[in-house]
Amino acid sequence: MNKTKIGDLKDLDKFNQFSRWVDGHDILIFRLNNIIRGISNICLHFGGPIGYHEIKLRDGKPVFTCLWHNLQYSVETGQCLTQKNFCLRKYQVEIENEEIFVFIN
Amino acid sequence: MYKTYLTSVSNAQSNYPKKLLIWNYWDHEHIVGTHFEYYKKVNIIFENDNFCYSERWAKLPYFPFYIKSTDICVLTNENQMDVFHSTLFNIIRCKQTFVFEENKNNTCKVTRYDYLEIPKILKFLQPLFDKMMKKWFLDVWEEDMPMRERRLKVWELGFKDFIGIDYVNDPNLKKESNLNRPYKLKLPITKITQIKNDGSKKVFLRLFKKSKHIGYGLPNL
Repeated sequence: MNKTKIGDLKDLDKFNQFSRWVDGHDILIFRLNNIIRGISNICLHFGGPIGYHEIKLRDGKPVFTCLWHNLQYSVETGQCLTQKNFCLRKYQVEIENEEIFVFIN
Repeated sequence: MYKTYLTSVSNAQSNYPKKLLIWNYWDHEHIVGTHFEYYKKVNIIFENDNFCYSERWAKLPYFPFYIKSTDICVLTNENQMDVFHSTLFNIIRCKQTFVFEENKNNTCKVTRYDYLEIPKILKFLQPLFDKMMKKWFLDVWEEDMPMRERRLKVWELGFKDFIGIDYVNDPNLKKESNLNRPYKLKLPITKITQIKNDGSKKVFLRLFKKSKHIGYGLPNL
């Protein structure tokens, strides 16, 4: 696994989330309940960006909604709630000196 | 009553292959997703590989309310798409012809010709119609452009519809460096987000009216 810088903590200041392409991976970094996590930003349907919109609530639980076709994914698990057999990859995240790193293959 | 037409011509050059642009136009499902600020509902009544019959609830530029239209979309040939809209009990009828001109370097120019049938007495609306249609074309074009760019990007990285990218899904796989494959298009595009599926009829609704747009992502470091 390669450890790669994806951004800085200040990138989360505005929306509590941001996405960025790193070596062919589009990774969505977000902060929820003061925990910073990383998830694939590529919708498995047609490849749309799931982090285009702010986090929304579905049945009281936080979800990401793909801009293109409204597929919704659980923020906590990456499981798609619209198409049950879709699940997004989660990336290991590390914070060092105000910088955010992800581990990719 | 004598009838005539209001007309308008809009065009734009894209950096994407023709098949990708046609994919975008025939992805009727994205209308309530990507264009949720303009469209609130789409019913696809019937579609096959060169024909789509649908109903749409749209808000046009300068109009503060939604208009329901019935739309027939025909892929007349590989370089032309004709769309027939009718609304207000078929009183208002509009035809649009999209012409795709692909260049050797896989870029494509799109020209849209609009014709709105009107009583001759309303011909004075021509300048307003022209302005409205050009604005509509550009608004939708600009909204679709990042979608096309991203679609091509994920395609070039090996994206497969309903599967994703192999090396993203499986951390044990390495990214292929020289994956060079021409863009493929198969119509009709498989749909999965309809809220109703009654025979060939499918109903799509937008999920929300407003959103805080975070965008397609930060620039590369």
